[in-house]
Amino acid sequence: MVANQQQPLPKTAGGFPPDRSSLLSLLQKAQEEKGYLTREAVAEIARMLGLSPNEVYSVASFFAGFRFAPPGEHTVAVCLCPACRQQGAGLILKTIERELGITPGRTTSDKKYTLEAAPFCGCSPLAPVVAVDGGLHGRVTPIRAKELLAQTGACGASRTIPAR
Amino acid sequence: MTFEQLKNRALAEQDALKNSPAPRIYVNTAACGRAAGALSVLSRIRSELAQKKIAACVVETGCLGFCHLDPLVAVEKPGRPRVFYGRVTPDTAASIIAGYLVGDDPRPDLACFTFGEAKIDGVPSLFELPAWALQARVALRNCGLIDPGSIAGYIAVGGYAGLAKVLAMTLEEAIAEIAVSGLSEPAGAGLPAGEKWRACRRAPGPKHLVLNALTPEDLFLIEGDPHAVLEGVLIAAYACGAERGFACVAENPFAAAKLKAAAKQLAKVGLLGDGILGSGFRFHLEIVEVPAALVLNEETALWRALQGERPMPSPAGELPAVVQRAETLAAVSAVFQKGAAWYAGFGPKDNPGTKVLVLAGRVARPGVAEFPLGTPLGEIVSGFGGGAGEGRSLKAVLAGGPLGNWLPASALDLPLGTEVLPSGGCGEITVATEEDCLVDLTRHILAHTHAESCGRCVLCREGTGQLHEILAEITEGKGKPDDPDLLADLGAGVKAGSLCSLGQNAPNPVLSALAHFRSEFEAHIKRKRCPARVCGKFTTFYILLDRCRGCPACREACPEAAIAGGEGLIHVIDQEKCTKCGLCLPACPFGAVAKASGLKPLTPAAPVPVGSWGKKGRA
Repeated sequence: MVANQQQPLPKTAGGFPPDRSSLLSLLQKAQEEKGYLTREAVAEIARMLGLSPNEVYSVASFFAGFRFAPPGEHTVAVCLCPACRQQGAGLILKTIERELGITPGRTTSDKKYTLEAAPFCGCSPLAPVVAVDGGLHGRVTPIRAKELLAQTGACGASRTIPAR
Repeated sequence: MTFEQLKNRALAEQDALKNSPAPRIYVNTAACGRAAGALSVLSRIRSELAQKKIAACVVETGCLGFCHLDPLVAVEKPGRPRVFYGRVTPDTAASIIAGYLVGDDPRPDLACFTFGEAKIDGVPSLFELPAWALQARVALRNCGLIDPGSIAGYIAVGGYAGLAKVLAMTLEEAIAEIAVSGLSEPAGAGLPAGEKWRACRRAPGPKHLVLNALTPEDLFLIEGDPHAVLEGVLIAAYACGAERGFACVAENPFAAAKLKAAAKQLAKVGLLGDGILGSGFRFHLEIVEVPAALVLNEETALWRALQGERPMPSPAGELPAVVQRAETLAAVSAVFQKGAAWYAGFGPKDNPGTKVLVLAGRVARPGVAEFPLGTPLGEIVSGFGGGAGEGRSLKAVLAGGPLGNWLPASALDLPLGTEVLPSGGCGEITVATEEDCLVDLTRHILAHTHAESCGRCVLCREGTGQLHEILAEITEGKGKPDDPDLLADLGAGVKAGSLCSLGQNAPNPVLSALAHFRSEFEAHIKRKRCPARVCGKFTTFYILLDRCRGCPACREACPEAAIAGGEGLIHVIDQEKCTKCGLCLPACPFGAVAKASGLKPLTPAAPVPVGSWGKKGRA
């Protein structure tokens, strides 16, 4: 809203007003389109807002929610808030790590699954919570976690993939 | 359109709905409902209705707060009370439809409670439940009871009357009204809303109203009653003189969609935009989905994020905005609908108000509820939450989420207020029992706060990391005798050397755990023992000789092939290979896997036939 108002700018930037206050919305839109922030998308946003790509990265990298590498076909997030951890989230995470052969923050080499550790779930009364592709699942047990993976497709196939 | 016209139209619409012969089915599809499987229940209900050709109206509501009963489904037939059914599966949903809609049996065996004036034999009324009677539902007044997707539904229960009232007041009168109510944020501790609004109005330049809906409680409200929050936004914007506003909702497609839909309805009936309700008041609202970050609870950080900058908090200065949480704004609309004196009647006289809490952890009935300030914490945990559950004894309560304090069982008589929730707005209450290792839980909380530190203040950025490392060393058996004192000193330093409430409160879990549970730290450090048998380093997994039936369940669950055994043999865990992952524990159908800490369990060196060990032992 304040920065760069002197420079000539296009009237709209991807449907948002062409000033810095649109940055978050533009980043979200770009991530929605490709699943992550591509180098080109960041450069384009920087150009539209009259910023340097570094300035855009400095904001985007602040938030854990923005990705800079393509995610797998399915994203599995395990909540590790105190309530979930108490009720076995650690065990669930280990089960899923073992099934997929990856640690949180990684994607299987067949690009099928990305595993994430979430700091909170927003529905701790239903702890432990696992989100598969954004769909919440509460009161999860290690056995249920395996079922959830199986529902997303052939989880047995990915078991053979070595860790990292 | 005037408010009277709007209200009459909404009432007529609601009456038509009420008088129609079609029954109504309410399904909680808010976050907790979805996590419990409400969506599959909902689709089964829809298919059953279509198959049986029943004309019923299916409404997706927010959560009533009794999350332990989710998925919660309610059925209301004309002239009858609404009957709520808990823990509904797709199959029970089908049998409820067959029983109550095809037939006329409300299935009291499945029902939990009723809502409405009439009664149904064998089913208690919601208002009789102690978990309900304890509460003071101000912000949550409509959550789970009305259709969050219908503005008419909200107007029919008194909605937007507060806005109509405030538009007839001068700005000064509006601020005086909120000052009388005593409303503050965070409840009971923060700056009174009246002062905040007045300061903003006096500041020069254009002003903004920012809705902060980032915490679980706030999202709960957005999903359950978005109009109550938006009415509060409009009232606050009017009183502060703001013409533009931002609604910051955590990246959550469901909550954001509900808020956007509600704002669209508002614009359609002329409650948002230019000339609201025919007055000179105009207000434009932009809904922004903000990625989660703990530091955004800081007003200055949130404002910076909205400006497209790195959200670092800055020293208190004049913001061209008033930032209020959804919880507060939903209470604002209630204050203007029902009067400031009504709100001031909740809680203690000198510090009135209510607070929405999320009760979770090892508690029999977890959920979300709103209590008057001053309610003893123990009453909330036992009266609403049903205590720690059968056979468990409550050890501690983490009050205030990741920045909160561990309170021991002896502190449960503390009244809800600043003493219980010193860390500000977060109303998360997590109950821990003897099964939980506070050192381990605190360590993971600090790992989270360390990751969330924005990095501006050295003591917060580095100090929280150091606190986490020292705690990690203690849980890994590398604790040193002076670690507790070091933690206390460092915690005090982080508190003193941090600019914003994130850093100032980040050491709270460590310091409070040390203050009340120092012996637990010392057990880890000096006796190399984890009393809760959680920390892997101090825990031995072993198989109970008298329980093992010689099945392969644990052996198959073990990822390290550390369990030896065979058909009919008592299995034995190789302690050298065991990584203490704990996967064998839930795998055993006979409960034969056990944990020990600080002592060495007696087990055979190699598998022996089932039954033989006991006989030898006796002989």
